Amino acid sequence: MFLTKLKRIFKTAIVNFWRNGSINIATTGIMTVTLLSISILVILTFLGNSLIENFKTKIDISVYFFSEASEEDILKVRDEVVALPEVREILYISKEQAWERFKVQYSDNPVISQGIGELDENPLFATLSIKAKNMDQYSKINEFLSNARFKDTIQKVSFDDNKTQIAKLSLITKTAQKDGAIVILVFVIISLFVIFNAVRLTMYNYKQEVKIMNLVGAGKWYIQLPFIIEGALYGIIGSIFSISILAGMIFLTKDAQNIESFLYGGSSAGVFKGSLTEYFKNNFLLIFGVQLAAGIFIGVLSSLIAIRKYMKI
Amino acid sequence: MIIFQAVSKNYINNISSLEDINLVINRGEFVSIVGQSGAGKTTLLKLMIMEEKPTKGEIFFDKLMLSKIKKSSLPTLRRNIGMVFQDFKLINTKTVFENVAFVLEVLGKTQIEINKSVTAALDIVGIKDKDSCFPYQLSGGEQQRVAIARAIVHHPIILIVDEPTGNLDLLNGWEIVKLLVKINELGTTVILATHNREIVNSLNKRVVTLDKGRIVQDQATNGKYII
Repeated sequence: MFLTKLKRIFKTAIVNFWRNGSINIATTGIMTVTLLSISILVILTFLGNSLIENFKTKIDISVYFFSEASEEDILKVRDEVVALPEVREILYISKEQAWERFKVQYSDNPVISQGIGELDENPLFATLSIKAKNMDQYSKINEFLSNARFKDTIQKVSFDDNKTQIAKLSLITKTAQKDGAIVILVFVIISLFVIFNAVRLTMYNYKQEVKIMNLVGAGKWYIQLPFIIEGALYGIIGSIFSISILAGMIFLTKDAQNIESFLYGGSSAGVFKGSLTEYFKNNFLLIFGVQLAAGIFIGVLSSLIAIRKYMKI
Repeated sequence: MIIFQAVSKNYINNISSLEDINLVINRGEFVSIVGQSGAGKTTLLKLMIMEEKPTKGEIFFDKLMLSKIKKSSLPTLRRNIGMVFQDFKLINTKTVFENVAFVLEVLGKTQIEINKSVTAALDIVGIKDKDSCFPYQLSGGEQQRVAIARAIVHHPIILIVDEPTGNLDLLNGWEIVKLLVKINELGTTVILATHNREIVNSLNKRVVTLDKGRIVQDQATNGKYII
């Protein structure tokens, strides 16, 4: 008897969905737009954050040493800096390495190459390139390097040159992450409100039907379940449409997506390691799964709340 | 079987619809509740199926005190009653067949049993050929017949009928009443609310007369519509 009832509940839900064509198309459409908008917003925020992260990896401070400073002293400074808890990465470029790099970099330029040839000795300095664990720690590292005991070894720290940029980027990062989260939250709340009301209006049509079912002696769940399943159907169909449209949009804009190559002229060192298409392909199941779960959750909850209101007889 | 003990029902603004109703309806009886529009007939029926709750007094269904009944037990109680509503209350998204079948589905009957009972019920009320129509495709009289078929299909202990002839012409009205008599003869208690004088007078059954929310007369046999 339980199975028969369950079968009937599912059948009723599907038949109702089919018969209420135009209303259900509208509600499913609203669900699709909602899921699609949230997905696009989340992807854009994620993309923005990954770009910022990418920028961060390119920020560092450089320490220039006096040309008279011995390698031993320089390495001592390096070891002390490495020991700082704020330091994530450190790269030492000796005077010779810097000179070699310079020569390779400008080998195509005949003027500079000629100038290099005329020089008797290496004019460059040894440098330390330091990356902090987070943006706020550069000033602390700078403070450490300004210590009097290094004054004979360190000629210059580039922090003062980069200071404004670092502060600006730090502010942008924080604002983007905070505001991005707020925008998503506000949008999700608005979307939930819209979809809840759309489902509620659909369920309003069933008000009389629910009352009649109650009066002829149908049990609580026997009445409610078909409507709850109908709510889930909005989510399932909405998420299928939404993911299809999203996939279409991503594949159609495939060529315009390579933001990193746009920004850095071909170098690809960021989070996506390729394009958004690649990212979408790799995370398809996750994106679809989240959309599906969110759609079903919103649909079921909205219809449950809406239909319960009419159960009070 | 159904006992009303000093029952009153007030709606909002303290407008009294029923006042101090004392009534006993026994198993197998055919009771006509008569009175003019607004006398409280429909309210009395609504109290029986617990669509409304009394403001004062107590209603018993067999030994069950309706005020003490749990909300979860309400469907079980209602399954013992067949009700034909004045406004039919058919489900517009279901076909005639599905409307009648719904009660049996609720009871968990098999599809074979449902097909058999629904066809028989539709046959009795004479609209077997319209089983795949939706309610909005039917005339008022046809909708009334569907409502009756739905009320009798599960062989309830009590059949409550609210103004069954209101939307029917004289001939069809008589047919419906004959049908109710037949159902009563098979053992079902029938409670009929109507203001159709001719029908009540020809039935020669018990008549309870309501006026302004009070019982003014209760004629046990050979009752007549007297107001």
